[in-house]
Amino acid sequence: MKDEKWSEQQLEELLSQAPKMQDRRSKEDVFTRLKEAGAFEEAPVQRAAGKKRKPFMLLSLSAALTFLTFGGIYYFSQDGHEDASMSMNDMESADQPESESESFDATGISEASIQGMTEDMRTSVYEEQLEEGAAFRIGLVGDDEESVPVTIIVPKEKLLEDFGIDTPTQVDMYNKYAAEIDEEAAGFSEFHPVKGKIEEQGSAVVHTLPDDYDYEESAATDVVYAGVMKDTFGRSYEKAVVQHEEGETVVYEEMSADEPTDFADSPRYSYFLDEQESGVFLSPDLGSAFRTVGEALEYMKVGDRGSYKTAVLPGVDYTVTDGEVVKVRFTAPLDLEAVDSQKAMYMIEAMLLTASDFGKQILFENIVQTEWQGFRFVEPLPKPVGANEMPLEIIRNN
Amino acid sequence: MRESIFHRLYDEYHQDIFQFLIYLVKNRTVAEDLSHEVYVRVLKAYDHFQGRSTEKTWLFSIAKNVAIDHFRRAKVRERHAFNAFDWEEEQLVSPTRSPEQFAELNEDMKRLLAALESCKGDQKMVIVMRYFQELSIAETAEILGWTEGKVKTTQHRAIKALRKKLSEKEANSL
Repeated sequence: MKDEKWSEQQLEELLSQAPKMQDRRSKEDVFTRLKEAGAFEEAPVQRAAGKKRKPFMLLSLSAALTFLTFGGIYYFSQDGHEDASMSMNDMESADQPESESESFDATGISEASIQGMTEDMRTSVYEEQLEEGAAFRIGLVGDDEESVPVTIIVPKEKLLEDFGIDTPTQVDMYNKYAAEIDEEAAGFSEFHPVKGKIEEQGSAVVHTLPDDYDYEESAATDVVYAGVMKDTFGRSYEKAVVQHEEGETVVYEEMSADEPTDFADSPRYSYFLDEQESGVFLSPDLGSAFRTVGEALEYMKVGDRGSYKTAVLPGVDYTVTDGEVVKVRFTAPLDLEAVDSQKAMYMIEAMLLTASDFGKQILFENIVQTEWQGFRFVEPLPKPVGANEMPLEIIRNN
Repeated sequence: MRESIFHRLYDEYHQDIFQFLIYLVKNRTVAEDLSHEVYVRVLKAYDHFQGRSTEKTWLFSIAKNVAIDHFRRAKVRERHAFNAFDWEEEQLVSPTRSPEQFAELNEDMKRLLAALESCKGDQKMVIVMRYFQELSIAETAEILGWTEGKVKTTQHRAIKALRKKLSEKEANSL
């Protein structure tokens, strides 16, 4: 066969001759299966209960750790993938990739697919997840020398083993775990633990730097440090004091013009999509600070800002009404089943994180669904306790 | 109420939606599961369907999302990497056996479908919609949330990519 055979016209003709594929099941079969699944019940099928949490960062990190530790496995997977895609030329002999055999056999595929559809796509950590553990928040340094807030749920058993109590403070956890975090394996730059000593005094976190060291060597470092301190301690402490060993206070303008830094009274930020090489995160854009939650939520509509991209879905608009509970009303009915579910989740969680930085919950209005992915839109959604859940495995020797 | 909606939608669109799904996922069992999920999502949202798009494009947009979610999950199982999945940039490849009908196709059609598998996700999606489903440019644009210009450009690039892949395949087999 010669190259000229594949002219544009002939290719289009061939495409138009693709065979019609029919579902061979009867209408009755399809109907019965849907009926058995409760699809015709007027009350929404309760899908939130018992959802399997599969935070995206957990998977991303697993990929990174797997790649670093067992690079060969990754390539094996790639090879299997390629084999499968080539199998079109040899239907009869096409074997499923070994690693996929369980998931994709004739019966298993059905079960796996349906199970997968109930996976929770939320990426933040919520109070309901902390019944058997505590949230350890930390800012990790991303591709563009910016802090990316992440949250690790540490189980109670580990807390008891490490601290003797199951309610350690953020400073306790920082001092125990920060040095053990495998930042590079997770796709971040090495930064932790910070130089010097981290302690707490009442509602303040105190960072005592060596006398001959400060984080103001360059503007970038100053910015990174400020972001890391905010993302690591900003939700747990009212103030941050940075000082040298001799007691002299250090003021970083990127953190605050005043000293000590007043987390409780400092401006807040809007959350955006933060695309790192290791994955997509939801991060505050520290370049624009706001005093009201309404302004911060409105600012989320702006387009791309450097590495930050708006999490608001294209064509979606909303109004914000501030109050004890913030109301976000979508201008047109938002059908979450008709948009990309992952992107929709990013948008909703970016808004929740933005509002939660102001200590507020959001009541969404004009969403078609009353329940979706574990959220109940008939009531204010819970405030996330931390952004970007990451697995415990990020901590070495856990 | 929901039952009557199902019966009407089934009569009008079921085979179209099923074909769309099976060409994307290349597996009959998966296509059956996904068509089931499409009904679940549609029936839950139908009361709120605003008619801002046609019923047909609304159904296809839900089917498209269901299929993309499927590929996303497949990638989780395969590579344990979820968040990096960008369906427009990546290949939408199902590592499964193809429907039995595919084995009966002539060699040219087999090669064409194999080449389509290795195209980028946005290209495969547009080819399936425009040629296999015979959707108009306007309908395709509405379903994908793109401009008509983007549909045209992607279709053009897809045809170009297919020609290149097929020609290379021919050259290598000589």
